This record gives sequence, C-alpha cells and structure tokens, in this order.
Amino acid sequence: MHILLVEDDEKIGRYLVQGLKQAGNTAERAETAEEGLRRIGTLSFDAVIVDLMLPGMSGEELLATLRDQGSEVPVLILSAKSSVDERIAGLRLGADDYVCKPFSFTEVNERLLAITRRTRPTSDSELQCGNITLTERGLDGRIGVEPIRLRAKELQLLRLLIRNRNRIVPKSIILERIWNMDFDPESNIVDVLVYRLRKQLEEYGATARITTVRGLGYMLTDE
Amino acid sequence: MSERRPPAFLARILVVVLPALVLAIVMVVSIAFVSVHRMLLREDREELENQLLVLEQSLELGGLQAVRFEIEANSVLGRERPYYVRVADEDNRTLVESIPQQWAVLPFNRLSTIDPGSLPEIYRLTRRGTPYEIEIDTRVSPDGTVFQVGMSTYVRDAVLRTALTTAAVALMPIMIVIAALIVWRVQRVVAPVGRLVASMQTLTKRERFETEVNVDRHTRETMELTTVFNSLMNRVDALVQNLRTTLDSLAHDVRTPVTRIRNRAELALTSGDEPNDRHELLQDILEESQLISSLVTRTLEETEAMSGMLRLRPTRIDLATLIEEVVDAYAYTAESRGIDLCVDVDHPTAACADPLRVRQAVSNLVDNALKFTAEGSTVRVRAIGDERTATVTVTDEAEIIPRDGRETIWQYRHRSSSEGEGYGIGLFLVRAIARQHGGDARVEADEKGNRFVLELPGECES
Repeated sequence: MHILLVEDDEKIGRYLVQGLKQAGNTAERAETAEEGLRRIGTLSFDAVIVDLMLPGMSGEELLATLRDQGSEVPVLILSAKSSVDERIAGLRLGADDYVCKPFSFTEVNERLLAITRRTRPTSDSELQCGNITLTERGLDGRIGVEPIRLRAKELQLLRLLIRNRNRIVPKSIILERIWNMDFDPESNIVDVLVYRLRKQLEEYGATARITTVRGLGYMLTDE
Repeated sequence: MSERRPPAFLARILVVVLPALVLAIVMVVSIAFVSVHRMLLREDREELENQLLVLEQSLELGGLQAVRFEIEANSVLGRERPYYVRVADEDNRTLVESIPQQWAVLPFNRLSTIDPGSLPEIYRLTRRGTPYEIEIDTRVSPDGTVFQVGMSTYVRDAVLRTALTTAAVALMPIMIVIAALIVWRVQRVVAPVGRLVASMQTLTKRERFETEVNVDRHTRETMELTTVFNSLMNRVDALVQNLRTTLDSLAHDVRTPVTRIRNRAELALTSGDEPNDRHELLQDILEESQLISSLVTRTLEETEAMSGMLRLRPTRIDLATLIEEVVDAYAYTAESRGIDLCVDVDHPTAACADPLRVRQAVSNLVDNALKFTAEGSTVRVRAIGDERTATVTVTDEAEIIPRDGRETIWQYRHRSSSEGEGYGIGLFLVRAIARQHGGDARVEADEKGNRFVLELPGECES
C-alpha cells in the first residue's frame, strides 16, 4: 500500500514511516496539512494517516477539505485526545478510524489494515509464519503439512499475531479485535486465550512461538 | 473600557412601581371626584325642578301674589342656598323677579331678551371675574307663562374643592408609606441575593469552594436559590477536591514508572555491548511506559465516574446479544477454572443504554463472579426486561457477602482480601455506569450465593 502520513512531530513521523515500510508498504510524510493536501492532489494514496494537532491548518480541517473535495481515501486519525466525544467528532468528520496517543505500531497497522479492507475488498490472501499457514478468511490452516483445527477465537488471535509477527501485539488490540472490548476489563481473558493457543501450537509442532512481553502484550516469532 | 453597571434591582422595581402607584391613585381620585360631582349635580337639578314646580303651583293656586308670597317666604325663612326666581308672560315680559343681593352684579336682564324656547335645558349665567355661575332652569307652562329658577354653583364647587384637597392631603402620606413598604420589602427580597454575591466574592478568595449560605426561607424562590447555590458549590468543591486528589495521585503514580524508565535508560546507555542486558532494559522501559499510559487512561475514567460525568451515548441495544458476547469472551477463563458459565436470556431484551459502557459493566460483573466462585460451581447471567427497565443479574455460588458489606463493595478502590489483582474499581464503575444511565446496581444474597443486579432503562423514548 502507498500511505501518506501527515504528522508534524519528527520522531513519531520517523517511527511510523519506518514501521509502515517494514510492514511492506511505501510511505511518505507531510509535516503540515497544507502539504498533505498538495500531495493528495498530485499522487494517489491507499490510505492517509493524519495527526489532529498540526501547525496551521488542523487535521480536522484537512479531513473536512478532503471529504468536501469528494475524496474517499481511507483516513486514520492520530490524536492525544482520548475521550469518546473526540473520537466520535473525528469519525463524524469522515475519518474511518481513530488511534489515541501513545500508540504502538501494531495498533496503527491493524487499524490501517481494517480501514483499507473496508474500502478495498481483498482476496483471501495467505498468512504465514514459520511452518504455520493460514488464510485471511478460511477456517482451515496447516502447521507443516498437518491440518490444524482451532476454535474461532483462537484462529482470530493467530491471524492477528501472524499479521503482526515479530511485533508486539498489545492486549488492548487483542481485546478489541477478538471481543470488541474497547476498554480494559482488568481481567486475564487475553492471557487464557493466548495460553490455549500457545499450547495448541506446541502440540502441533509449530516452529513459531508466542512470547509474552511483560506489561505490553504478545509477540509471535519464528525461531 | 469598563462595562456600564446596570441599575440595581430596587431601582428597577421603583421605576416601574412608583409611577404605577401614582397612576392608580390619580385614577381612584378621579373616579371618586366624577362620582361626587355627578351626585351633587343631580341634587342641584332636582332642587331646581322642585322650585319650578312650587312656583307653577303657586301661580296656579294664587296668582302672582302667591308667587311673590312664596318668594318672600323662602327669603324670610332664610334658606341655606339663595335662588334666582323669574316669572314672565308669554311675551317674556318679566312679571316677578327675585335676585339675591349677592348676585346683583350678574346680568339677569339678559334673560328677558332671550326666547325661553331657545334656551338650553340649563342656561349658565356668568360674568368675568365672578368665581361661580348661576345655573338657570326654565319651564314654559301651556298658557305661555315662563318660570325660571337659578342656583349658584358656588356650593358644589366648594364641596368638590374641599374633597380634592382632603384626598391630596390624605393620600400623599399613604403613598409615601406604600412606597416605603415597597422599598423595605424589595430590600428584604433581594437581601439573599446580596448575601449570595458576598459569599461568591469570598469564595473567589478562598481555597475551598465548600460553602453554607444561610437558606433564606422568606420566599420559595430565594429558598430554592440559596439551597441550589449551596448544593452547587458543594458539588463544585467535591469536584475540585476530587481533581486535586486525582492529580496528586496521578503525579505520585506516574513519578515511579518515570523514575524507573530514567534509571533503565541510564543503565542501557552504560551497559556496554551486552545485547541481552540492553534487550531486558528496553523491555522494562516499554513496560513502564505502557503502565503510564494505562494510568492516565484509568485516571481519566475514574475521575469521570467519580464526578458522575461519564459520557454516555444511549441507544437501543439488545442486552441479550451483548451478554452473549461478553460471556463468550469469558468462556475460556471459566473453562480454565472449571466453572460453568451459563446464559439465560430472551431475544431481544431491549435496553436504552450506551453499548460500550454496558459491555464494560457486564464484563466487570462476570469477571467479579468468576474471580470469587470456586471450581465446579456455576455462574449464571440472566437478562429480563420490560418497557421501563432492563435487568441483568449475575448469580454466583461464591461465599455470601455479609449484609453489612453489600454497600461497601461498590465503593471506589474497595478490594476484598481475597482479590488478587486489579485496582478495586470494577464494581465501583458498574454502579457509576448504572446510575449515570438512571438505573442502579446492587447485590442480593441467599443461601446459594450472591446475585448482582444491574438495572438499566428499558425501551428508548421515540
């Protein structure tokens, strides 16, 4: 995917551009909304990531202008404002999703995939990590040559981990993607699900391992 | 440029009330004046009519001699009010005429020159410089004889003048007294407002907003105003105190992980080339930064809940579906603990609520029940509803919460001794969410276990 990031903070910008490139995308950064609009006018992007607090024209104004011009490019908002009201205001302006600072790259990537999937129907592409092979939508998968049978939630989690392999997947993303829980239930339901999946992968002889990153989440790595 | 100060409430009242009062008094006096004037006029007219009748009868019975006698008799008897009397023949030649001495200067001879038939009902005779008029009533008998009787307006005018003077003298002090009463009452009415202003001025100079302005019970409005003001300020004070506590607590809680991050970063920079050490230190830094982020999110949420300011977006939801989704999330946890997690709901069970918040509340209740229920037991989640209320019950088979502890479990940061992890805000949030929706949360118990009840509004009003 070709992605435009409109972010004035250089460190955050560099971090995101690097992450997006590592995830197999091409990415470029605009430091102001005006520059962002100019680039959107001349190049075609698959998605735009916009920070709300920009010098000069704000992210909201950029979004409004974009939608006024009839552009339907998927837009992901980045903001330090975390209240539900702010989120809803952003979505009303025509954004497709919202990520609050501080964020992990996995969170941005997952939301980006979700909004581009919404607007661009994708094929049932294959996901692979080590000897695990899954499809984006199918129920079946393989570890080596052996077919695996997983429960629906386990399968969802495995897909999520493979898509973000070698990156930390925060618990909050797992809660939201698997159970639609946009809050921290202060519960161990994620740990239980990960434990079950980990056990299944071990039993099937998967070469990929789920490691726990203390206090943050989980990471699938191919040994 | 400073804004011009508007006039005081008392001045505004007086500007309206005083002219209205004066106008009302003028109207009352005018009506009384007109009534008295009409009454006196009617009496004078009747008197003139009577005199004319007497004259006519005298002439009929005794001729001019009798008329003269009648005039003389009236004069001798010294009537209170003098009369002018004239009798003339059909050619308006004067036959008899009696002019009281005091009216001699008036031009009564004019009457013999005017055709009696052309005279108005009452002819007014006057002369420049004379402070009264003579009102003359005329009657012409069938044989052409003309009878004319006149009376002075002096008495009537004097009575009316006296009445007016008396009214003015009597009403002026009454008006002053009424005005003074109005000023007194208005000052009393606005006094609580003044006290409120004084309190507010004091508050701006104080650290605390807690206040107790004396409730003014003189009028309902001022009583309500002072009561609402007190309750508002106490709420503001509670919010400010809450904010201060939250900020203090946040500052304290954040400093610890920030210190750890700093220490770890320093160590990472000085740890030489050992990649494993650096990896461990970086992982620590990430962990601590995640802790800070969670702290901020949680603090914001707690503050909103404690202040009763959770932002809700109520919509019509199917509670049954929502419960099934939450139970699904906890299915593995229940299974891993050997607990039977059952759902008993009717589709649809409508509720008018914020789906995100309700999901959070139900999750907390289920999580709480699973935490305290022993292996081999059952946790049952039910939902029933009607148009007015939708009720979720989570029944466990855990140790029964003693009666005196059934309120404290909902308190902020309450934690049971057997609770392993968490911050003790799960049930606190459940109740805050329920109450913010206009519902409630409570716990009941029987010999089998505890029953947590979450009540929410039923169907949304269309």
